[in-house]
Amino acid sequence: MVDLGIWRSRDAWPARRRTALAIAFALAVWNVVSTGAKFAGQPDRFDELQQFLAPFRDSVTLRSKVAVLQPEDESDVWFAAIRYGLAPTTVLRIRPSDGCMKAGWRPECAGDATHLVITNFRPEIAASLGARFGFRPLADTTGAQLLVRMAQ
Amino acid sequence: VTEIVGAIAALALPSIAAWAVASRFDLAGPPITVIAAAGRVVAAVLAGVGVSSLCAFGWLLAGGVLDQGYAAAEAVACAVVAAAAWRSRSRAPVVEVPRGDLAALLAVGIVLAGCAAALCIAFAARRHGWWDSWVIWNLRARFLLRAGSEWRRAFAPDLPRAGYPLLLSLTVARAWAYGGESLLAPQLAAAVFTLAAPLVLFAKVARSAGALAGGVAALVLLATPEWIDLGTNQCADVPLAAIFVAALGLLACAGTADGPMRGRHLAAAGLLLGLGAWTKNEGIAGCAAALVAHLAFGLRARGLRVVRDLPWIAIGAAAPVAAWSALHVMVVPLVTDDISGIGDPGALAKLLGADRWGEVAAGMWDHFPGTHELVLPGALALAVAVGVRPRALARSVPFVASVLLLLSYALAYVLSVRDLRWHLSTSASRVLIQAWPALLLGVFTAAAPPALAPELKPIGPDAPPRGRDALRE
Repeated sequence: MVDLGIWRSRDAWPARRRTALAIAFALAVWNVVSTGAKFAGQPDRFDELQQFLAPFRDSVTLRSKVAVLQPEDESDVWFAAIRYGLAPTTVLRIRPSDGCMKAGWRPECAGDATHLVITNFRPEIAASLGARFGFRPLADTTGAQLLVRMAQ
Repeated sequence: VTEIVGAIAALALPSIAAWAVASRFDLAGPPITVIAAAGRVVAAVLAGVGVSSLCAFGWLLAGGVLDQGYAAAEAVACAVVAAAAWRSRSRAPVVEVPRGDLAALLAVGIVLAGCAAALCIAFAARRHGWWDSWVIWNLRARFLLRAGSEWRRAFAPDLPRAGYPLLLSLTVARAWAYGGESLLAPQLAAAVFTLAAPLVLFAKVARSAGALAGGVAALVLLATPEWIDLGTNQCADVPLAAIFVAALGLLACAGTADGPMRGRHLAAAGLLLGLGAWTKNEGIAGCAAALVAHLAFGLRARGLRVVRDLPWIAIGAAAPVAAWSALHVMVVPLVTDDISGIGDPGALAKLLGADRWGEVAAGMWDHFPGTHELVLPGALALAVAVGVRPRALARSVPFVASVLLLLSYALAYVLSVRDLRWHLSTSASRVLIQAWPALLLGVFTAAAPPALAPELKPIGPDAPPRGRDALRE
C-alpha cells in the first residue's frame, strides 16, 4: 500500500514542490524540444514569395497603385505576400467575385491602377491578358508578372 | 551588424531608462532576491518598450518621421532620463537566493535558454512571422517606416484591421529606424515578449508563494505548446499576454502594500494596463476586468478607501489612454467588428440561447491553451501539488481578473455576427492565450507561502494529535 504520509508532512512540503517542479521542468523541456524539432529544417514558403517579389519592389513607388489579378481559386497568400512585399504601395485585387469576370476579365476593374500583377500564368499569356487591361509587361519573377499601364 | 545593434538598442535603451526611473521611485523597495529583481527588470522592459512606442506615436502626430534622426534623438533622451534617474535611485540590495530555491532558478533558466533556442529555430522557418503579422502588425510597421511623412497610409480603409492599436507595429518600426529594416527586429521583439511573461510569472508567484511554486508556474507556461508557437507568429497576442500578466502582478503587489509604495505599484500597474489596450483592443477588456477585480476585493478589505486607488491607476494609464484616444480621434476610427454583435437585432436571442453558450464553451475549451497536450489538467494537478488553497484562489485578484476576461471573450463569441464555428476556429486559440499567463499567476499565487505550508505530522500511532483531534484534547 502506498504511504501518503509524505503529502501531509511539513518537512515533505518542499519535497512535494520539488517533485512538482521536476514534473513541470520535464513537460517544459519536452515542449521546447518538440517545438524546435517541429520547425527544424522547414522551408519558409512566405519568405520565398518575398524573394520572388524583389524585382517588383524596384519597379514601383509610393505613388504607384498595384492591382493584383486574383482568380477565385487562388489562395489569399499571394495577395497578402504582394501587399506586404510592396508596402507602402497601395495594392488592390481584382476578383471574379467582385464582378470582374463576365465573359472574361473586365478591364474597368483595374480602375486607376498604375500597375497590374498577374500570378500563375505563363509570361506570354499574362502579357496578352494584361494587354486587354491596357498594361504592358514590366518585370517578371517566378510565378508572377508585373505589368505597367501602356500610357506610362 | 548595424541591424543587430540597432534592434537591440531600440529595445534595450528605453528598458534601461524605465528601470532607472523605477529605481528612482523605489519600486524595488526592501531587499530582494535575484528572482524578484529579474521580474522587475522584465516589467521595466515591457514598460520601457511600451512608453517608447507612445513617444514614437507622439512624434509622428507632431509631423515627424521615423528615421535615423528620430532614433538618435530617442537614444539621447533615454540616456538622459536613465542618467538623471539613476543618480537619485533608491538602493534595494539584492540578496542571495536561498539554497532550496536554487533548483527553481536553475530549472527556469535552463528552459528559458532552450525556449530562446527553439524560437531561433522557429524564426528560421517563419522569418516574417505568420498570417496576422503579414496582414496586420509587420505590414503596418513597414508602412509607418517606409511611407515617411505619409505614414497615415498605414490606416487606409482597404488595409485589414486598420484601427488596431500600435504598440507592436511602432516597436518594430522604431527598431528599423535605429538599425535599418531587417527581419531580426520583429523576431527580437517577439522573442522578448515570449520570454518576458514566464519570467514575470516566476517572480510574481515566487513573491507570494515561494520560488518553487513560481518555478512551477513559469514552467507550466513554457510547457504550453501554443505559447511558443504563437510567440513565433510575431503577432500582438503574446505581447498583450505578457503585459497583462505583469500588470496584474503589480496590482497584486499593490494589494499588499501601504503608503507611497501602494500608489507607485498602482501607477505602474495602470501604465501596463493602459499599454495592454495600446497593444490590442482586447486589452481594454483586460483593463476593465483588472479594475473590477481590484475594486471588488479592495472594497471588501479596505472599504471605500479603495476609491483612492483610482487616481493612481489613472495617472499610470493616462499616456497610453491618450495615445489610444488620439489614434481613434485623429487618425483612424475604432475597429468595432468584434463587438458589432451588441447592436445586432438577434443579440438577446443569442444571449438567452443555451445551445449558443454551449457551442462557445465547447469551442473555447477545444482551443484553450494546452488542452490537447494535457497541459491544462497537468497544470491543475501541479497546482494541487504546490498547495493552492481554494479560498485564496477565490480571493486572488489576478485569478478573478483573468476569469472575467475569459468571460468577456465568451460573451463576444456568443454575440458574434460571424459564423460562430469559423470565428472560434480562426481566433479562439490566439485570444485565449492572452489570458493564460494571468490565469496561471492567479492560480499559483493562491498557493500557500512556504512559511504557511501545512504542518507536518507523521502518520502512525505515535503521531501527536492535530487539527480537530488536538482541539478535542
